[in-house]
Amino acid sequence: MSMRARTGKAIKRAPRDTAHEGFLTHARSRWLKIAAAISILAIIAYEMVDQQPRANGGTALGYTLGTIGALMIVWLSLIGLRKRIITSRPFSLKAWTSAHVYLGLSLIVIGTLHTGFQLGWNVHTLAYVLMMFVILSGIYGIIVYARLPEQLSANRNEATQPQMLEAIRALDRQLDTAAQPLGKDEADIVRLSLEETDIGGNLWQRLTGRQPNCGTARARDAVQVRVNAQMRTGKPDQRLTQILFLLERKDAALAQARRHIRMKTQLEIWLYIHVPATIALLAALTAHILSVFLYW
Amino acid sequence: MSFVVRQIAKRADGGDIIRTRTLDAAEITIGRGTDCDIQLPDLGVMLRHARLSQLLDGTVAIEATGGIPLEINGQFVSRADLDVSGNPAIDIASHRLTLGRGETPGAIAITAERVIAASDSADADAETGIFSLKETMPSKRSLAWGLALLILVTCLALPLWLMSSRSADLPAEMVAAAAHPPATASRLVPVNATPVADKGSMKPDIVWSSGALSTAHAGLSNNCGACHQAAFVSVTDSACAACHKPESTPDHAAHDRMERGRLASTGLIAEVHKGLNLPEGRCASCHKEHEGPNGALMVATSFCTDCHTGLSTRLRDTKIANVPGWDKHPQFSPTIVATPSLKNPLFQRVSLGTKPHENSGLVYPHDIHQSATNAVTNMALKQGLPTKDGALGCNYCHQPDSDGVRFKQISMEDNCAACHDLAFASDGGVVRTLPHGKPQQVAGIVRDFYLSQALSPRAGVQRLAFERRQVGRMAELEAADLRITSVGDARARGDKAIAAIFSKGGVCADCHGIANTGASNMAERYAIEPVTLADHYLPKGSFPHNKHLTYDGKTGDAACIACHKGATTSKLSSDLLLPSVSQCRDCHGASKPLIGPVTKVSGSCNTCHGFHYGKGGQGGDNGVPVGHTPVATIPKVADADRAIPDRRTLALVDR
Amino acid sequence: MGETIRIAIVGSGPAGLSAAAHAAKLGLSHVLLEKTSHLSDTIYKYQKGKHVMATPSQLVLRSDLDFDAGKREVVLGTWDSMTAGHKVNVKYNAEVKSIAGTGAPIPGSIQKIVTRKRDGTSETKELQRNAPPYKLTLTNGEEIVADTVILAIGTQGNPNLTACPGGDLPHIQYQLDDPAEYNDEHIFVIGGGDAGIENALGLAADAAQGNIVSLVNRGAEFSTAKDANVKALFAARDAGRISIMTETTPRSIEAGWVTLDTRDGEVRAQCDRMIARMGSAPPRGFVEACGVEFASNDRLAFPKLSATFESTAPGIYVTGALAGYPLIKHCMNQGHDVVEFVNGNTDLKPADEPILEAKFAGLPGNRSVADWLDYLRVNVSILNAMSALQMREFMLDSEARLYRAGDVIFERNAPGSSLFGIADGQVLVEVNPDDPSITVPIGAGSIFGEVGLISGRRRGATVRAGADCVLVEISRSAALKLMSAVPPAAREITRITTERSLLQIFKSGLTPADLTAVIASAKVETIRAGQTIIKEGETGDDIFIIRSGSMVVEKSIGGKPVFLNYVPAGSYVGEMAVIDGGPRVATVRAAVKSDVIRLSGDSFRALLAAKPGLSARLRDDMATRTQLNSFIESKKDSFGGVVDMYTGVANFLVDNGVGEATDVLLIDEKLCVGCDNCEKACADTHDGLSRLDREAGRTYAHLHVPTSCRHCEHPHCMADCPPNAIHRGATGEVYIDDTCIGCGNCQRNCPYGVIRMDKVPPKKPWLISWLLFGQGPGPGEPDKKWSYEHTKKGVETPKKAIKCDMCTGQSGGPACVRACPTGAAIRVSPEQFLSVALLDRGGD
Repeated sequence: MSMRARTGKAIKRAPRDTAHEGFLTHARSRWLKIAAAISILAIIAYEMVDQQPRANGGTALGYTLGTIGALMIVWLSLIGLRKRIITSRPFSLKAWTSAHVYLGLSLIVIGTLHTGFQLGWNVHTLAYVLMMFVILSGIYGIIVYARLPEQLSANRNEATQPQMLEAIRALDRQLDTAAQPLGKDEADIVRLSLEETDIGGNLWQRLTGRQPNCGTARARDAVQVRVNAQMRTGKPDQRLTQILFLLERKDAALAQARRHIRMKTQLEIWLYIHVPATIALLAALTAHILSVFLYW
Repeated sequence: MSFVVRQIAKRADGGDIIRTRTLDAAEITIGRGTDCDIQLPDLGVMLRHARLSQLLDGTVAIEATGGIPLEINGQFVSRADLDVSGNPAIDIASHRLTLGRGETPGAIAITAERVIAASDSADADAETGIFSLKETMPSKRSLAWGLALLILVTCLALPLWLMSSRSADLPAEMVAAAAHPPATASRLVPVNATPVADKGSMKPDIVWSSGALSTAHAGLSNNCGACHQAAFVSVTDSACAACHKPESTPDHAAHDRMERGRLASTGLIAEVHKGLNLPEGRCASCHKEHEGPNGALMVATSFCTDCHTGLSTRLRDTKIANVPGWDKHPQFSPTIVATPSLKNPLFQRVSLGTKPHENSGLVYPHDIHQSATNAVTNMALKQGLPTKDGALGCNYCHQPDSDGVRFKQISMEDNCAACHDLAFASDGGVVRTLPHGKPQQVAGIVRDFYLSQALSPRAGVQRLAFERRQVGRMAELEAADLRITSVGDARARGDKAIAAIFSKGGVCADCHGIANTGASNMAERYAIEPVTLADHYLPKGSFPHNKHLTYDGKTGDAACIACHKGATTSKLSSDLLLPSVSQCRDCHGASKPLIGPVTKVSGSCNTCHGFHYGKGGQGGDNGVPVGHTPVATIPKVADADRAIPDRRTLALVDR
Repeated sequence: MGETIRIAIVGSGPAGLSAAAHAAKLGLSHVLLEKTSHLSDTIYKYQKGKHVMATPSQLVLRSDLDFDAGKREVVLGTWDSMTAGHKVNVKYNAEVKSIAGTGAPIPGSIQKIVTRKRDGTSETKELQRNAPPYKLTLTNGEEIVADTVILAIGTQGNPNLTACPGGDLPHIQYQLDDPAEYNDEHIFVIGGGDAGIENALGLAADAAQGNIVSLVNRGAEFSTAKDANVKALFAARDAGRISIMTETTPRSIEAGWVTLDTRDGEVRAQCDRMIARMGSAPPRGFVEACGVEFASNDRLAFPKLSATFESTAPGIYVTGALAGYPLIKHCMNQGHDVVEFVNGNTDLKPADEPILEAKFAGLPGNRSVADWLDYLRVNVSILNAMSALQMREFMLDSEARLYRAGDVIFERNAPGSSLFGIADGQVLVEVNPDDPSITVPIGAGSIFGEVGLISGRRRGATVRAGADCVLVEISRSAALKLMSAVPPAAREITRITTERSLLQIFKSGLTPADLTAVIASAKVETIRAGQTIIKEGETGDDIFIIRSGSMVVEKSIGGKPVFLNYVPAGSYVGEMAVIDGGPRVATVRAAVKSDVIRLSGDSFRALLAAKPGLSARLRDDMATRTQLNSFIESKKDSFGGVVDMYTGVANFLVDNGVGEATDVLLIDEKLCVGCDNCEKACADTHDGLSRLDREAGRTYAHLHVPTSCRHCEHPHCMADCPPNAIHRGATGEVYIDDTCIGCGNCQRNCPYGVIRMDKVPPKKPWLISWLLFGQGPGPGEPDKKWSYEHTKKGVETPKKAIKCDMCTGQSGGPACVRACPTGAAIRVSPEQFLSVALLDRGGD
């Protein structure tokens, strides 16, 4: 039933990449070198070759660069499939990412030389602009991927996302019970926090992580005012101070969750440009290539 | 009198928890406060929200005690009497109280349940979504689809639809325009100098344009179909020929020779061309469009050299040298006069490399005429001819023709007669001149002059001597010379004078070689050697002199001499004062250097050579010395290449 | 009730039921005593709708009751109806208090009962056995007399009862079936074990139920409970849903109220319900009191039984889980068989005969199964002491094979935790990996492969058959059972292990003869995690060989302990003192619970004197270690921060069980962007269920240990797997094969919470159709809702235990690592990672 365990063979474990390198330095930045080589080669060729009547996609070199560029674009866009089709065959998505990043950057050179610096209001330039758009968003992606994870894990502090939410929910429950004996307007203040707190918020609030008129903040301030007032006259209402305490804790919990959301958003947002722009680019590329041959 | 209160709570997993109490009281309170009979743990509810009191059986009075009106069956009231049989519903904040008859008579059943879920009842799984952008942003998928479809429609579907809906043939008005009579203008300009084109509205397929059209074709900008007639078919010559009629743009050479001459590409290149359906040798092969204002005319040198490199290997009988490129352009072989002749001069193409001499039959030492210090100078000054610091200017004889490219014909009358007038006698005020180019008449005129003076001498008639008078000899002696003793004597003198005119030192011999036929008749004894002046040494190229008026900082004659070296020192008219090809290379660079900017002015083929000259034009390899007057008959010229000038001429030249 | 019954069956589990049914069928007078009010309490307590498996599938069922894999309700239903159908005489609520022979004392049959106390001391009671018939006294005082007794009470035992006054009140219960059925009650849960905590959380989970729950724990810490449970408990406390009373015990209980002894005095509190989860006493005590002797004092030991399941007390038969057969099918067959035996049919062949036949099929000289078993028992020394029945059971998860001369039995570095016994022929051990020709023979009757078994590490040397030989390969579980059942075997194995590991560690031409003195001095000690065996600065010259587990070497530099080295099992520490005779230069403490062999310095010094080659060798090893020490010290001087970080990380990893891991997934949170592609990849490569939770788990210095299997050297999950479905695979991975019955033991036993019980979700639509049109849940594990909506209704899919299998069979290695776009995820073995290489990481 378990012959798998019974063989005495010292089966070599499948070779795997245990090297502890990030995608930018993968394999001693192999792809950085390759991409650099390609770009330099392209530039030299562009300088050397006398393109007649003038440099653009229509010359022999232009067609070559164009073909290379087009193939690269298609290949680069395939990473979307690669990361999702987990075949059993050996592949390292890290290597792919590394190649994706650097070859993608080298497209700036190849693509631009392909245009021969001739831009206009046509599908060809559209494709070029889209490509640059994709690459720029990608560069942003690289930057946040390089900078944010450390902060993300620091802020998370071993708390998982469900735990963050649960913490807030728990505080809500406690607030709810703590507020039961309160009079109307004080209860209403607590309701502000319970009912008008949006953890995530709209895109802008997610990106900035700031929600100035968040219900909880308003409630906390309002309660704070009352407590302070009572302090002046004498001993503050025990129930109120309890609620203030809870509100402050909730505020802190919210702050953490929102910092988390902010960074997650920043890590994610660029893909909402990168990916659709890529698809658009593929479409434009198709039109670009077809049109060239249609109007041959 | 009792209330049966069923309070329903929802369990997290969905089930209900029903707590039932019976209150034996006529009046119960509802609110958030712990002291209320029906406690609703809901911050929207007042501590003491309402009082519910049983009136007579089956009706209850409800009254808002918290200052907030109650919502009963949709209306907001602060107090109401309710008939429980109608199961009235009272909404308080997020709770609902439903009244009804209890099982036991007189009992009122109250069902209290939360109808609006509490905030924290949302299930965790759904909420973790807030950490991703999924809810906040439209999905990447929809964005991608939207953009892609937009682009595919505007940049592919619409143009395609336009293409398919369009008829492949040219716009009518263009064809009509093409039928206009051949233009009188330059041969290279299309027949209809102003292309009639559909300048109409912008078409969707404009997005396919890869760049601005050349100015000449700008009119076609909105009319892609004019040239791109069929999908996946590269622009055909027929499209071009619609306007550029063959007669206006003749072939470079005979079609079959072109075919044989062309270097057919092989291997990968050929495959690519075949695969991409790009036949070679089309107009568009050389004339690339969408390359900006003067794109169409920017023809790459390579397009010429492709064929002309090693042309002889493919076109064995060609007479033109192989030209791999400007750098290796062969030395100029000007077409020079081998044997001057009035009827049919013989021309010959000789490479400047062989230091050839021309035999124009004319005696013209440039040095004398270019000197600033000799008799020529005095004469020029005396005659008031244009001089530059004393010396006769080049352009006195070499006058640019109308388009400034080449020069007018040099003629005795225009360029020489000012000094070399053929006067031989003065009759009172009248100076008698001999006619130019008519030797027999000259003989006749001289003889008659002497005879008439012998028969009836008149005073004031004086023979002008062409040769300078000896010092101390007096005029009356001269006059006495004319006095004749007898007719025979007069004839003898006449003959002597004729001989003097025609023989060395005589007025003719200044510029011409003269042959003595030895005829007894004096009128036929002397014959002037024929003169032929080449008027286009390099007929296969065109050298626009007017573009080279300044050279190397010099202007005027200095500029001329800079290229035509030795013009000031040349003693013989047989000297060929043409610059060699290296002279041109000083300024005209080869193709772009590998690295760095272009330092020299263009050296491409079409700088000097044309293409669409056609048969009898400067194109092709038929070696016709075009533009020479008189245009000789073609067949003879064919052997002119090999003709050796006859001894007589040589002798003359050597002299 | 005068008359004597033929058979009294105690316990109505599968074994008992089956026995009773067969007795009824045979028309034997019998009674089935069930302590609860329903049959088969253990299965009855499965959660509702649990799928009950029927393994091993190849085993034929020879009971009078039907049994097929299916829902708990179905299984129980069938049994109820069939029991009734067979007119089985069942007595419910009949808990047996004692069983004693009523006949004359059996001469010389005296049983020693050893009971161990908490403080480690033990007392021995002697009990004179009496001949049957036996008197069974029930808790309600009723008495039953029977000729033979069949004990089928399972291993569950009885829950420990509350001793305090009022402990027998009805509102005190010892289990909680459905937390949802209690509302608005003041509930006290007694006991801070996992069971207690889970019950308490369950009751307090839903605020709407309005329960007021308090958890009472004797100790100050919840040491026995799982980390996750304790976390959840404190979270609930902070959320004000549960009140926790530590260092508290109930003093007295009355209706509606309880009085508790707390650290600061007596507390009286309202109490509508009390749930006491104070663990359960294993049945051993009761069984021994019946005169049934156990194989050894080991926790895992089972009663000594004859081939007919008869115990040392004549007339008392033991079957089912208590006899060591946890699987329902086994139990039912035994129930049937034992009744046959009682009925005099002694030459009945057990049901597993065909399975054993299959095992011996490949061997020469056609013997019968019984002969084979006997042959092995006699020829393999460690098996000598086994009973025929034990041999049968033993063979069920062992293999007997024939190897031709020269065949390789296992290769060096092959994973394997099985033990080999040589029944015939001899094998050759290639002691020198570089030169296969140098071999040491091991003769018939002896064993080999024990190092793999003990240390849980890869094979140390290649072993091939010297001559044609018959070997019995004893699986890890069988070997462990053997060692607990047959103490002499255990001793023998230990001796051989010690000798061999010595030979293997200090090669250099040592012979067993050289070692006799050393081995005589050798003591095997078990070291708790964190306990130190060598203290820096102390004098002492004992040498320790790490048999199992692993050690951490520390040195205090500048007052701070600095992590020097991680020492895996199979290596030794403490030699420096012997060689240079100074005080200990570093502290060595156990990273995980470990076994070490302590060799006295003197005997070892003698050995060194005798064997110069050995001391030279030791000096070499020592040199490298001193180098490491000085290297780290130098680092410490230059950049202390780095070394502190390095120490911190190392200790953190050790604390998180990396010490006992063979292959652990780490995530560098300096790189992790939280795309969860690792989880998606895991799910997509393992029929839609992720074996890994990236987010959960501890983090230190941005180094994150997610909850995923570490493939421990001694997997806790293997400890108690009824179908023995957990194995170590060919590439060292610990995997669960498809015989899993979904009992959840492994999940409970795993201290790292990396095993989950779940059913395979339905097939997802094609990836492309998701990419293009958003069909289906997309990559990764589908959410519960989707799975629920898309499962075929009516098709019963069992929940099975799932865990990381290290993606065996995938040429690319673990998918989680392959699928990490940024290179944050790495899978490493502790030796690889707990090394100086960490220093570089500390650097950045």
